Amino acid sequence: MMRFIIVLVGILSFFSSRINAQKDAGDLVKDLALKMQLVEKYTADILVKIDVEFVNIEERKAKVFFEKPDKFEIKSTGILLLPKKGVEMDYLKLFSSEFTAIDEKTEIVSGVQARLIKIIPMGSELDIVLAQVWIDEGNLRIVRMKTYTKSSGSYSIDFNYNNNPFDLPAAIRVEFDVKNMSLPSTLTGDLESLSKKLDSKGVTKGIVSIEYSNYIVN
Amino acid sequence: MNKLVRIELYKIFTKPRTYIGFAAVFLIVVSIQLGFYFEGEEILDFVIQNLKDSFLFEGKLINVYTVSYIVLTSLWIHVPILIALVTGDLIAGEANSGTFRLILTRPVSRTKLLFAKFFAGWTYTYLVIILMILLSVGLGSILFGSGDLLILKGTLNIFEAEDALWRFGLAYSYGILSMTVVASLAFMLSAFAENSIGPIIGTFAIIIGITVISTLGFSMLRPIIPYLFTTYLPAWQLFFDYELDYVKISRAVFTDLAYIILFLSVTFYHFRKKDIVS
Repeated sequence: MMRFIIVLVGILSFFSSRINAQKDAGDLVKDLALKMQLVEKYTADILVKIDVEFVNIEERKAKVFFEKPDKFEIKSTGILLLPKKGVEMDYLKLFSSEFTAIDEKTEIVSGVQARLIKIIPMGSELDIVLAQVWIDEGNLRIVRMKTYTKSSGSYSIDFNYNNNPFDLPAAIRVEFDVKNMSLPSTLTGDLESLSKKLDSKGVTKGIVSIEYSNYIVN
Repeated sequence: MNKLVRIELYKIFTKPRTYIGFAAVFLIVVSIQLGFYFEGEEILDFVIQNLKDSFLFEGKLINVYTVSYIVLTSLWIHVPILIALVTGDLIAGEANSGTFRLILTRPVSRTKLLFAKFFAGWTYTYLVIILMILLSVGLGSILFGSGDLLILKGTLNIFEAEDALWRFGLAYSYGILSMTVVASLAFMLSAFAENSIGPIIGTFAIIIGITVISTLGFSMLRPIIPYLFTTYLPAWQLFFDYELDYVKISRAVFTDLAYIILFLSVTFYHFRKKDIVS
């Protein structure tokens, strides 16, 4: 009987320690934000691939400049199209504002065990109304993020990492909503497709993949 | 033959109406370019405002290629009129001024004379398009600089500058071919007329008439539309499709060539048998 009680107490204390070891969702996001804030500024070369139903463009190279807190600049020799949300690290604003974090579950994302945390911003000044963040707790980095905005629908970002300084991503894949649009053709003379609608569904999905290289940080 | 061509070119370039074409091309191209130079950003913003809701645009949107494409689109309606103005006068003008009898008393065959006239008319056509290229690309490079070509053509096509260059080369070359069809038509009508007004107006009427009828009565005329030369006048745009449709391009080129041969054959056949009374 005594042995049973000892084993039971042992099991209970093991699980209790495991439960205590799991960090609070809000603290985890704050730790992540602190880690991200270590990056004062960086430049990197990017290779952009665009996959949008009605856009035909080859891969483009460009240079990206970031400076804390939210200065983001892209320089390209040719024309480059990027989704309005997602590539300019706008989630940094969310992490540095007041928010409520709700722990949801643990999932395997891209082969990594990640904690899914829902983040709801407290103020109304941000465009983001809700974000779901999958965090690799061991390495303290975001694996995936899905964001719902007031102005641009939703978008999700998948992050890939290698050994870049400060765990800056090696590649991201942004999937975003593209509104149904009727491209004007009168100015460009494409009379065949005058007033032709591209898509009748209302919203289509666009994908932009960006590979980063040659980081120079701080 | 060279001498005959030189004489015909001299006749063309001593007529004031010849310069209407060059002046019109100059005015239209320069006006469009100046418009884009001063208000291009606003114009383009208006055109791509839908896209700007979802995308950030980086890079130089207004550049020599984008503006040249817009010039090409705007001017392609006017160029056939300018071509007909001169080529419609080539034979009928002589008939009207009563100089044919005098010319044909010289030891020059009618065939050679017609070849010389057509070649001179084609040279004028070629020069009008060369002026358009020089102004669009030359002046455009100075005003706007180089950059990628952005086209809204049902889809949004973006071509790198090097890619745009050969597409423009082919589009202008095709433009010369399709304008040669217009020149041949005006030349043919000119052979049947005693006054140059008829062939000039006739050429406009045929081009505009067939275009309107084939657009409005599309379902009724569907079987013959692929065989009309007017269907292929805007086919230069095919060179700005993201993936070139070689079948459509070949059909356009062969149809144009067939019409040139047809119009010239009718002209030569009729003129060689024509009773010169003026």
